[in-house]
Amino acid sequence: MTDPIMPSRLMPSPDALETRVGDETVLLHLVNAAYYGLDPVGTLIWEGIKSGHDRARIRDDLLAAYDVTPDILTADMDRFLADLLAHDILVPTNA
Amino acid sequence: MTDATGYDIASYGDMMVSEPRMSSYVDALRAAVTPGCRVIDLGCGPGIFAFLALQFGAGHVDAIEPDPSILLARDLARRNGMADRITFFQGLSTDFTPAAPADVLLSDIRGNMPLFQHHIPIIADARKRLLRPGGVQIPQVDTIRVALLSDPDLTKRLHGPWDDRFGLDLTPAIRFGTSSMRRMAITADRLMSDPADIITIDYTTVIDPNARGQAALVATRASRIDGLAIWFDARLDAVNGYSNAPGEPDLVYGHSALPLAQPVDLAAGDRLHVDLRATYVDHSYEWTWVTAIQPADQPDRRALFTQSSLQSRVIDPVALSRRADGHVPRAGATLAVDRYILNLVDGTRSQGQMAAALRDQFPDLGLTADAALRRVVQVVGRSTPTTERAFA
Repeated sequence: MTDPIMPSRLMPSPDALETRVGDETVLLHLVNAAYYGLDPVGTLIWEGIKSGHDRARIRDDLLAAYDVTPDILTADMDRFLADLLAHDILVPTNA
Repeated sequence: MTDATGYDIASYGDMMVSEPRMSSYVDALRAAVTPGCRVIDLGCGPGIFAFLALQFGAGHVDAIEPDPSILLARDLARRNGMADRITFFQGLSTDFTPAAPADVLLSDIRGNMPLFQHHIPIIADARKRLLRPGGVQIPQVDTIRVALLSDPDLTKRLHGPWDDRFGLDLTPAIRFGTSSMRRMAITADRLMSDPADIITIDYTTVIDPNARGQAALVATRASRIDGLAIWFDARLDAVNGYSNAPGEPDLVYGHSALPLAQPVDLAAGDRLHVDLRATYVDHSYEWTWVTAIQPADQPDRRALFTQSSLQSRVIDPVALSRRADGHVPRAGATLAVDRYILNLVDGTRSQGQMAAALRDQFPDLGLTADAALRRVVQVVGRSTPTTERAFA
């Protein structure tokens, strides 16, 4: 079950910059002036968001790639997205 | 050997003969000093402006410098009979409280750009706490300027090492070079547009260390653009100042370039729009430049590149995560040793006594007396005040 208050579609904040080496990503929010590190799974989610995929599509892609139950993955992914939303790295989109 | 500020004494010497920088500062200081006034020389180095302020009639100078070069300043003050009118403070100005607010606040703690390390927070604090209301600041305004730069050598230097070599794909490394502000000599004939102001820093009001500005640069002739030339011009007071522009006398600050991710061909009249941001993070700056092109005969612009100094470094996410507020540190093998050393700090034991105790407590480490002392110095040095001191 997905978080009912989590927007289904998100996008990177225009104030968020990224640098990627291999399968890990570092983000910088230019207003908060803070860095954030993403592990390989976080990087996959980030890439999905940049590609304009909604949460359901990103979740399905991760389920296909990792041996994890849907409930656990959804909870982990929503926690991750909520954290990025709270830090303004992600913003909701109505598209 | 360079010091804490990155300058050695020879570098300070270079600054003193860098013209018209030096004469502009001297003239502005002479104009600002009134008989008996108080002056703050912020980042005094070997003390030249402190000495000149007294020569011009100031009654007292507070000379502030975290770097050991201040010891030379004190020696030179004694040699010139000025030591009794200067308070030297070795440390950051944010830790200094003057006997009385200053009438004049002079500084040059820029790097190659005025947005450099903690320059802006230092100035904002000094203006508020150390300068009397209505006091004179030198400098007053810096203006960062940009122009289109055509320099094939820049692109060659950044791309060449990684382009199609040895049958290997090394191209992911290119962006590390093209994402940093490059200090380099730029001649005026390499500029393919008129300069444009992009960021102005008014030291009499600035508080926010972050800065952002936009400019539209119009190509004066058809050319391949490799990046943006960037420099700053300084206004010290109403009449004194200097320019670092290519074509002007070379100054200690030098020129810099913001490379484009790829060279771009422009026709005469084409515009290159740039949105430049400087973000203050951890006492340093991340530079971000977003470019777009607008052909001369078209109303719309097309996005080119989003580049940032963030992308010039290999940042280890694991190391980054260790700085996060949610990180839970775990005790490593060295923690017990470091904790033991810190517990020995009681204001009575010498470092040699602490080193001896360390060897007795941890014989399995096999530390020699020298190694134990180095370990003590390393651990204690992080946790005890060592550099802040006022002396005359």
